[in-house]
Amino acid sequence: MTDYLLYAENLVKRYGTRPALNGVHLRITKGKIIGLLGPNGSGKTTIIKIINGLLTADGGTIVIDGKAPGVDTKKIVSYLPDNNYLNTYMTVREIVTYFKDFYEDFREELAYEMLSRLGIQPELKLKTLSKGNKEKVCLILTMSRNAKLYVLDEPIAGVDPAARDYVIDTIIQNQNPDATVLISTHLISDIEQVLDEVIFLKDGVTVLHKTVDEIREENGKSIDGLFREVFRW
Amino acid sequence: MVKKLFYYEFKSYLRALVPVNLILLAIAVMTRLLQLFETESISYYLLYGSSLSAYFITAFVAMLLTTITVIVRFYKNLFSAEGYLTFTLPVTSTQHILTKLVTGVCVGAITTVCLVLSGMILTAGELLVEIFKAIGYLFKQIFVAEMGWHIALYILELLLVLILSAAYQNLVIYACIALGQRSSKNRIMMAIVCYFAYYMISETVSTVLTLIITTLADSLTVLEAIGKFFTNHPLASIHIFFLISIAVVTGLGILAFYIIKKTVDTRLNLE
Repeated sequence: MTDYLLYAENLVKRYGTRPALNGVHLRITKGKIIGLLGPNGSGKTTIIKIINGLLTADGGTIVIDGKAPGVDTKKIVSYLPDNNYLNTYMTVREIVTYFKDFYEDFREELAYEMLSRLGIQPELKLKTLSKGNKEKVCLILTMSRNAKLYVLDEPIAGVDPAARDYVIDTIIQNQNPDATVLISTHLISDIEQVLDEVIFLKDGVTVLHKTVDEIREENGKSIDGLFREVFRW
Repeated sequence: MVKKLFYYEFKSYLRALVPVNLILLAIAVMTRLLQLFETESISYYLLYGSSLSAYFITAFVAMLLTTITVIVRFYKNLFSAEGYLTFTLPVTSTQHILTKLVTGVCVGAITTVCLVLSGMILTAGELLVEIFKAIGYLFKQIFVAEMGWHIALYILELLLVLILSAAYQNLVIYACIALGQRSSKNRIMMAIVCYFAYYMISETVSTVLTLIITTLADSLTVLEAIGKFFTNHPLASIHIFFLISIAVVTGLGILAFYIIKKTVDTRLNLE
């Protein structure tokens, strides 16, 4: 269990009587970029929320760097939710300072460098930014942390194809080499070239966890192709 | 970390509440200055009346805005999309709740101080001097003379009751918001329903207790003994009254805190 950065065994979660996770197993090691893939309602966001301590599992075990989700794991997990979670009355500079104040691993210079490359003025209020720029600010804040585990929930869903390249480049360039990036997305073809491993989720169960090379060798298919085959209606 | 939480909480509250409190104080000063130039003209009375009305309206707005800001800040920061950031900070849920509680009570106190200060500005001059003289006289002749050193303890106990009651009122609202979050939909509506249910239950309980005490007071020996004790030891009785109030408010406050913490720790489900 301690060999893994993220270890989950038989993870179960129900919303009322509706099951969301039916026994998920995860074995995630350091230094990987991993795609968490599955159709809507497969349990991706539920797992991500449990990893980040935003939901409590009803059963099973989850351990991040040897610890159960809590204050200690929040210090090493950098999370990008799939919605705009920032207080839009703050300026970009204020939100950068906020992250610097609360996260010891936050790299302020890196954040300003990335903002400057995008031409986003730190004095602008978040509410004045376009939807795309708000999402980029969120991504910059997430990737500016020197975390052990980055958890990105649909990081490219809301941005145009040109911006997707920027997002993917930002993820690759700013990831700590010893850190792992867990990316949940529907847009598999856009990110499959950067993935080391993939996890397929179906009806709250892990149906596949392999390296991208294994999939290509064993199945002779791209990740996108295999996904379409596994999740065909 | 807690220091930083307090810093951002106060910053958020003060940004919303400083302007209205400054306007209130400015209107109080303006109204008081108008009194110095009193004339018998209709235009003066119109101007003075408008200024006084503006003062009372602003005072009402300041109180309302403080209450709304405390509620909205708690809800928005913890249970709206902002919760994704709030709950992924390396801070415990207890620290989050306590920070919100303490700052909420503090901003309530700040607004109260501003209201009192504006009232003093409005009555500044001979009237205020007379009011203070009267209070001083009452304090000296009645309280200090009759109660001696007890008065210092009474003041401390009263302050504690006021602070704890303010904290309890905030905790009840927070607990109702938290209970509303346990619903899968219409969470704000459920929070309002919870608050009305709490209000009705607390009213019913206090009415029933009052009825029991008043109707059975003569027939129950225990109540009779308590009544005799109160009559024979009036100074101690006031301490007992304050201490019971402190115990009840603290107990109920802990229960409300537990409901909030339990919801945040185990039933949180941000949309």
